Amino acid sequence: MASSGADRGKARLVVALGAAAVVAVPLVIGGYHLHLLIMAAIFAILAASLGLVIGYAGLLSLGHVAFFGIGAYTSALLFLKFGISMWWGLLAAAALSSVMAFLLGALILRVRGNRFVIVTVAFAEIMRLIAHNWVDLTRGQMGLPGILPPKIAFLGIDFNDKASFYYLVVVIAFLCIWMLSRIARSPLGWGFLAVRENETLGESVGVSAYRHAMAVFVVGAFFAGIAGSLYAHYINFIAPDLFYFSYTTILLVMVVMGGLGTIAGPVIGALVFTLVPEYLRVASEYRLVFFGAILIVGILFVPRGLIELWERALRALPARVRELMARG
Amino acid sequence: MLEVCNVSVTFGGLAALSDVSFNVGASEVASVIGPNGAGKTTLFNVITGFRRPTRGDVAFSGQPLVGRIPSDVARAGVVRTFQKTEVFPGLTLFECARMGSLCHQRFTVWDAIARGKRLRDFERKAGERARELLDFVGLGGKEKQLAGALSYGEQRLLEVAVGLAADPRLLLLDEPASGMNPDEAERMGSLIAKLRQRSISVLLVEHNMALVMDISDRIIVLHHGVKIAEGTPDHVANDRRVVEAYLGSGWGDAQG
Repeated sequence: MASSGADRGKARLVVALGAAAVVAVPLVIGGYHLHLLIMAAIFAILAASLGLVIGYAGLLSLGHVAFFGIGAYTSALLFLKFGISMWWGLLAAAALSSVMAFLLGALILRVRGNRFVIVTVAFAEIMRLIAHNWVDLTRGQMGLPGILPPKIAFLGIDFNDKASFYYLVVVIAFLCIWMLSRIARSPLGWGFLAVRENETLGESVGVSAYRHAMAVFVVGAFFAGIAGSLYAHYINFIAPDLFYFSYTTILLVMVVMGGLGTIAGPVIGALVFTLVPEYLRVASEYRLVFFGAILIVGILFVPRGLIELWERALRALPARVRELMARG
Repeated sequence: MLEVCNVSVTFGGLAALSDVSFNVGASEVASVIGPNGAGKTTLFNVITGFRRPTRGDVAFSGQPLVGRIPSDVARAGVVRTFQKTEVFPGLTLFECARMGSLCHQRFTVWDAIARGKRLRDFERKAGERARELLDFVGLGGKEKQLAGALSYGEQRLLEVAVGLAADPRLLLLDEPASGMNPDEAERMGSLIAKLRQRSISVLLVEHNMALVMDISDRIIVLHHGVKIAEGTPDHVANDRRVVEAYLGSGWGDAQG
């Protein structure tokens, strides 16, 4: 394989260029555009985690935003009441979201299907009502202001600055997506596919549908909690409208239009559908019309999602480069 | 190996199975036959944990199976296929055939992220085994095709590979040759016969009598949920009650 070394070099070059672009972004753009990229990265974690639940296990969870909100409130309250920084708040958010998912799952994952979908919607609404009405704890509709980003004191880094927070969120998003991909591709992930494709057959060959549905639900909530914590400490303010169904809708668009049954798809979906609606603001009142048109065209021409466009683009690359990229 | 003991299932007032008992021995091919509605599929559901019997017991190698969920029954070594073809339609044949390997090993989320040696070894072995099983059922070379895109007969062969991946000691096949043309049915027959060499017992429900007579060591005949005969193919074919169940009473008189 004389060309192998050269191809490996090319693949590394592509990855290195990508990484360099990600690192260089704050040097080139700032302000509002950087803000959008930070939001896109947070949504990428959220969409990828929902992509595992819907795309791999086929569990149509319409309450995923609840775990995002639980994570945001957990982290925010720990910071505001006890002065616990985001470093620990992030872990606590992930942990509490997972525990809530486990409890909800224990109630509803034995009967999946339609009832599951409805219960997840109701769960998100209940969480919203709690955030809204438990005024002593959450200040209700007034929300919680003053949730500061973390610092690394001995290095003198304060993530209050947008560019620093960008790097922080990119690193965490990368780690989360990397972990989600590993889970998706592991034998545990095969079990998720069995739940999606044919749980009766899965059961008959020893793949417990309940166990795998529970695993995917808890993992999804874990990463949603992380995204929630990042959101709270970035925006510095949260309110009960975090739990609104409209967030679920845009999340579903990211996951489905990004590409079901992949992790990269929802990540691409999160980038595109965070940025596109914002940049469509130039069209003022026609913004949502254009957005709707884009969705319809997308469903008609790239039914498997944006990941399909990406794959088509990759196919233009030499086979050996593709293979190396797939490997690492 | 398998002991079915006085199993009864009633739906409301209707008895789908009444007091059915039989055994299946090691490396034996046993068949359950009977007219439609005789309770054959219900019997399969009871054995594999999809339905709880109203009364009676089922044991495999001395372990009770009643009250266990299907994936637990599979772990005990009893795996079934379905009357209505069941595959994982959106997965490739390779992915389908390696699924059953999950039966005997569990991985946590942490295992999946850490990718330790146990997991990597498992992936490799499950992959090798999936290829071997696809070859065994005659679907070698089609690993990358989607299961949903296979012809009906091929899907039925794939079902056997999917079941075998769980490493069963008893495989229950629910009408594996239904809807197959004679060539395909013959292929299925020789496949079932080969299972014996792998020391896998088979319990078969099948309407294709040529196939049943050809490969069964023993035949159990159900009629309206009651076992009316049991024995070798020759014995059963000449049993008066069996002939009556299939052809109606009066047949013997007309012949005589």
